[in-house]
Amino acid sequence: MAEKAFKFLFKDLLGEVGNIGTGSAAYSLSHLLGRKILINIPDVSIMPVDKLKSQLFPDNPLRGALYFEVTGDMDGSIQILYDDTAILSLLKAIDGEKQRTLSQLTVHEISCLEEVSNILACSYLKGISKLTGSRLIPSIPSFAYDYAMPLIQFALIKQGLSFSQSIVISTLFSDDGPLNGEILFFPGLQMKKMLFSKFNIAVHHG
Amino acid sequence: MAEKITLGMSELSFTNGTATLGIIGLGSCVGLVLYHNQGTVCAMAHIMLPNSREGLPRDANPGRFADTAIAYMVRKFAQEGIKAKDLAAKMAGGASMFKKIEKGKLNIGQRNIAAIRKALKAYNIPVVAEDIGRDYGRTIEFDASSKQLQVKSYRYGMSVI
Repeated sequence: MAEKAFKFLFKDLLGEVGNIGTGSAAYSLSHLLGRKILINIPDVSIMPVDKLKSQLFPDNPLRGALYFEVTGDMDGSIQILYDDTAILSLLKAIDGEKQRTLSQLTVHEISCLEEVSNILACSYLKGISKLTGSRLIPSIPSFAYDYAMPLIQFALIKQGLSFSQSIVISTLFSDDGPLNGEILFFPGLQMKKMLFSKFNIAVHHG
Repeated sequence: MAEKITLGMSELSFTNGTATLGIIGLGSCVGLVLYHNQGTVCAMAHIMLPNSREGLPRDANPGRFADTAIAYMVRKFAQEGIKAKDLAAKMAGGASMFKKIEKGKLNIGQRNIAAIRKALKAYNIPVVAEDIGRDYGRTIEFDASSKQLQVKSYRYGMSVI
């Protein structure tokens, strides 16, 4: 298969994975909060690592991020990012109205964010599991609040161990109000192999 | 105002003092500056991984790995007639943004720093200043004429090392 067609097919496949995953995650979030959650069409980027970082976050905004390692039949990592208003809106919905400082969230508040995101990540993976008939396990969540670029760097470095280019499926979700977030899925090497074998696509390129 | 060169992940850049070198948003990566003690020639690398033997591709930018970046920089300085003994280093970065996950073998930040120290030691290049580790992102800028490295972070504001 020509390399260009191959890349196109791979992108398409990843887009579908992202679609199913985010759909499933948005459904759970909608149930949890009792609100309508809208999702965008997933954006699949395959490009050199230095380009990707500035494409995803050109102005390096502040974000609260939850990081999950993915293990099981396929590897990779998931990162869920919220902007300031989204963090406050989520905490308000779960923990009630309080005065909060984003740079100094309490252990309890971080735990709330971790729990919501855990549900999101699990449903995201469940969607992909169902589609591919594979077993995917997320790690415990880890929270950090900082600029977006250093936050996504770890996931990119980990990918850099097995790929020459960076691959990410990013999807925006929102409640059409204060809650805006982004799910980033960074597939690992096994993921690529698994997807191709599951969908019976012969791999000629590495 | 001097020209500004901003480096992306795994990039490496040289200047003879007419430009400042900078990196936006260092997490586990390390920004390493090597500079000539007596002159204004300096170089910066945005190092991603500790060792060229454990990453792909092998023919990647030399700035991608600590070992290849330092070897490349020292060689380039030598081509300009600057010996390794006249070089000094400053570095920043190598954080663990997600403390629960980035431990042990996955603590890439610490491993990057260890690999850089080891490679610099092989050339006897001293690290004169550093702002490394912990759990926050950094944005850095190096001015070749004053040889000062400015480190900015969300949590601690600006400092100069």
